[in-house]
Amino acid sequence: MDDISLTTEYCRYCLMCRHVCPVTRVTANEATSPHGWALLVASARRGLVTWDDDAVDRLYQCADCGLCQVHCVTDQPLPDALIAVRATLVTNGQALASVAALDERLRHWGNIYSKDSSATPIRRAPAALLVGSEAWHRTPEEVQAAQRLLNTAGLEYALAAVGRDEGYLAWTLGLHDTARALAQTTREELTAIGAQRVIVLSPQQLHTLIYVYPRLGIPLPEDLEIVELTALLSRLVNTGQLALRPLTLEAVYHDPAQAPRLNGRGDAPRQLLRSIGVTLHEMLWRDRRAMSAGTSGGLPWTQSSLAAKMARKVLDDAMRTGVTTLITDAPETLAHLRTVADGIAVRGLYGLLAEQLRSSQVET
Amino acid sequence: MLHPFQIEAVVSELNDAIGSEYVSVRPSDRLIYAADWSWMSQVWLDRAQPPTMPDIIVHPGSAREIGLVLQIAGRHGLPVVPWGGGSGSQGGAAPMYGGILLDTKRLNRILEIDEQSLTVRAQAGIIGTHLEWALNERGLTLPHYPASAHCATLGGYLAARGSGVISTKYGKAEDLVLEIEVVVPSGEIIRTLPVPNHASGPSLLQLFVGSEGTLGVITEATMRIEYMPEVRLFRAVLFRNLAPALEAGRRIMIQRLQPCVMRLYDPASTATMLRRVLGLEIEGACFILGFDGWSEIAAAQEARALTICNDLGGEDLGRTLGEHWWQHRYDFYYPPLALALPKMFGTVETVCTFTNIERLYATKKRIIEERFIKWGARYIAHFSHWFPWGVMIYDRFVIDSPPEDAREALQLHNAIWTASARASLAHGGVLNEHHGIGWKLGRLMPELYGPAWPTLLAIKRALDPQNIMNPGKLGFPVKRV
Repeated sequence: MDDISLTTEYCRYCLMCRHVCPVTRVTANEATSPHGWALLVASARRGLVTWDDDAVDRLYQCADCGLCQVHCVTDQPLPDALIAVRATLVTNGQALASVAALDERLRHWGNIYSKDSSATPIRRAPAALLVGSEAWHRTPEEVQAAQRLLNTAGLEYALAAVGRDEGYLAWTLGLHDTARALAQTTREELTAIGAQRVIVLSPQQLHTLIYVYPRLGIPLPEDLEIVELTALLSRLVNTGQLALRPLTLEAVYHDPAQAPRLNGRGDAPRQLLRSIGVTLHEMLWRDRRAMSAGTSGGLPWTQSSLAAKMARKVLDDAMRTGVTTLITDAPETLAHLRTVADGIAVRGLYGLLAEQLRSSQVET
Repeated sequence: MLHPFQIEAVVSELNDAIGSEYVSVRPSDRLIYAADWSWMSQVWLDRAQPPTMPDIIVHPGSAREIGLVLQIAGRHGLPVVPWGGGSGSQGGAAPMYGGILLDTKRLNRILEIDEQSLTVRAQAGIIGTHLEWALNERGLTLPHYPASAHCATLGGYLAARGSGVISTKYGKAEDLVLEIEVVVPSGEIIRTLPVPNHASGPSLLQLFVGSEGTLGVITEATMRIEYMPEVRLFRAVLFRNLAPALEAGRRIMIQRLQPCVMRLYDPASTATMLRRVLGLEIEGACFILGFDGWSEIAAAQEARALTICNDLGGEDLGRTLGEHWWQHRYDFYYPPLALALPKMFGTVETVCTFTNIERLYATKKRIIEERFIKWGARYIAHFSHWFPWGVMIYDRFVIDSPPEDAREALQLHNAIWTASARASLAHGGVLNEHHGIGWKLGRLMPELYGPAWPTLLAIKRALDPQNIMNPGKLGFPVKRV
C-alpha cells in the first residue's frame, strides 16, 4: 500500500484531530471531518462508495488548512492524501464542474479572474516581492502598502507573479498539471529577476513555495531565502530600519490559513502590532489552532456557502473578545473576510502599518 | 430501511421543525454515521460489508429542536440514535436499526462559568477539549481528561459514565456533574435538581447519567471545575511483578494520599505498549504516580507514596519517565501507535474490590490466553482508576491475525467478550467501569442485574413507551419493552 493510501487507512477511524478541524467546527458533521474524509476514501477503495456528485462534493469540502496534521502526534499527511484523491478524480474526469471551469481560467489567464497577468516587465533585483493573484486582483491597496513599507525601509526589489496565481489553488484542487505549470513560470521569473530573497505576502504563499513546489517537482533553489513580509517588517522595525507612529487601537489579530503549519509564525504580527501601540485581544482559536477563514482548499470557489460560514465564524470569535476591529495580513483572507464582515471592521496589516509611516519617511 | 416515500414524509416534518440545512439523507453522510469508534462497526466496513445505516441524520441546534425531533420520531415509530462524538468503543452510537441519527454537536455553547462556586454550565454537544481550552484561558480546568477529550462531547462523557486519567483524585464524569437538562422521549425538556447531593428523593440525575441515550438526550450539564494546580508531580516506579505493585496502590489509596494519577501497567503491557509508544525498555510492572495541587502538599504526598513503594520493593525510576508519560499520555491513541485493524482487540475492562482484583486478573488472563489460544490471543492490562475500596482494571485482548471473514470475526469477538465479562462477574466485577455497555455488552445486562433487571426495564418502559430511544443498547429489547 502506498503512503497516501496508508494515511487514509490510519485516519479513517482516528478521531484525535476532529477538534481542530475548522470545517467540522462549522458543519458539526462527521462526514466533513478528517475521520469522515478518510473513511470516505477508504470506503471508496473497498467499493462501498462510488465517486458520484455527492461523494466528490464532500471530498472538496476539506479546507486543506493542515490543522489535522499539525495536531497529529504521528504527523499523518491527511491533507496531501485527500489532494491526491482529488488529483485522481481530476484525471478521471470526475471532479466538480466548478473545478474544471477554474482550471480553464488558470490555464488561459494564470488566474481565475480572467485578467491578463503578464503585463509587468521583468527587472533584475536582489529581492522579489511575490504578489500573486489574490492580492493583485482583490486587495491592490495592500500591495501598494507593502511597496510603500519596503520602499521606506530602502529595500530594493522587483515585483513577481503580478496578478498570476502562484499555484496553490490549482494544487489544492487536484489540478496538478496546471499547478506545475504555474510553479514553473514563477520559478523561471524568479531566476530571471536574479533574486536571492523572495518576499511573500501570506503564509499560504510561503506554504506553497516551501512545501507545495517540491511536491510538484519544482523546488526553488536551496539558497533562495523565502520570507514573509510580516516577519521581514518585524525585523526592520526591531532594527530601527523602519519607524512607525504609534496608534491607539484595540483589535484582534487573525492568524490566516496555513499559519498553524508554521511554528512560531504568529509572533511577528503580534509583535509588530504591539510595537505601534495596538492593544491586542486574543481569540481562543489562535496560533497553532487558528481556524482557516475558508480561504484555503479552494473553498471560496467550490464551496462558497461553507467558505462564507467559516469566515463568519472567525468574525464571531473576534467579536466575542469585545473588539470592533480585526487585523490580518494575508490578502486572500482579508478579501474573503470583508465579503461577510458585519459589525466589525476588517483591516489589512500592511495598510495599517503603511498609514503609520512617519510622513518624513514616506516614499512616494 | 425506510421506503423512499416514508423518508420523504419524515424529512418534510424534520425540515419544518429544524430547517432543511440540518437534515440530511445524503449517502455520504449516512455511510460515515454508520460506524462509531467501536471495533465491531469498523471491522464491518473494513471487510467491505454494507453497514447498517441511519435513514436520516439531523443536527438540531437546541433542546427545543431535539424535542421536536423526538416527537416526530415518536409519531412515526422511528428509532433515534443520539450521537455526540461517536468515540465510544461499545457500539453505543451505532445506528443498528436505522431511523434518525441525532448529532448533538451544534449544541456547543458554554453558558456560564461560575468562578465563585467553581462550576461550568455548558451545552452537551461541546467537544471536551474545546470546553477545556476555554476554561484554561481563565486558569481553570474540568478535571476530566479522557483520551477521547479531543473528540468526545460533554454529553457523551455523562451518557457513558466516562473517566479520565486524573479521575482517581477528582472523580469520574458522574462524580463531577451537578445538574443536567434532558429531553425525554416525549419531547419534554426536564432538569434535574440544581445540586447533586441532597435528601430530596432518589437521584434523577444519576438515572440519566449512564443511560447511553436510551432514556433521553442530555442537552446541558453543569460540572464541577477546579483551578489549575500549582504543580503536577510525576514519577515512575518499577516493580518486578504485579502483586506488590497492586498492594502499593491499595496502601496509597487507603492512606488517602490523593494521587491524581495511578497507572499501573502489568508486565505484558509494560513490555508492549510502553515500549512501542513511549520507547521504554523496561521489564516488570511499571507504576506511574502523579500528585498535584499545592507544591508542599503534593511533594509530601508523593514522598509518602514512594516510601510505600520502596517498602514493597519498588524501584524509583525518577521523575523524567513519569513526566514523559504525562506528556505523551494520549499518544497511545494515534495511528499507527494505537491498536487498530486488521488486529482484533477489545477493552474488556471492569472494576472490583481490592480483595478480588488479583484473582480476577489471573482468571481473565487465563481464560483469554488459554481458551482462545488457537487465535494467539494475548492479554494486557493496566490499572488506572483507583478508589478507596478497589481498582479498575483496563484489560484488553489482542489477536494479531483474526478471521478474515467479517461474520466469523464478529462471532469470535463476541465470544471473547462474553467469556471475559462472565469472568468479571464471577469475581465481583461489573460489565464495565467507564466505556459503557452499548450493544456490545447489552445481552449480558440481565446477568449483571439479576432480579433487579425488570426494574430497569420498567423504568425504560415508563419513560420511553414507544421504545424509540437508541434501540438495541444497554440490553433493552428492540421492538417492545
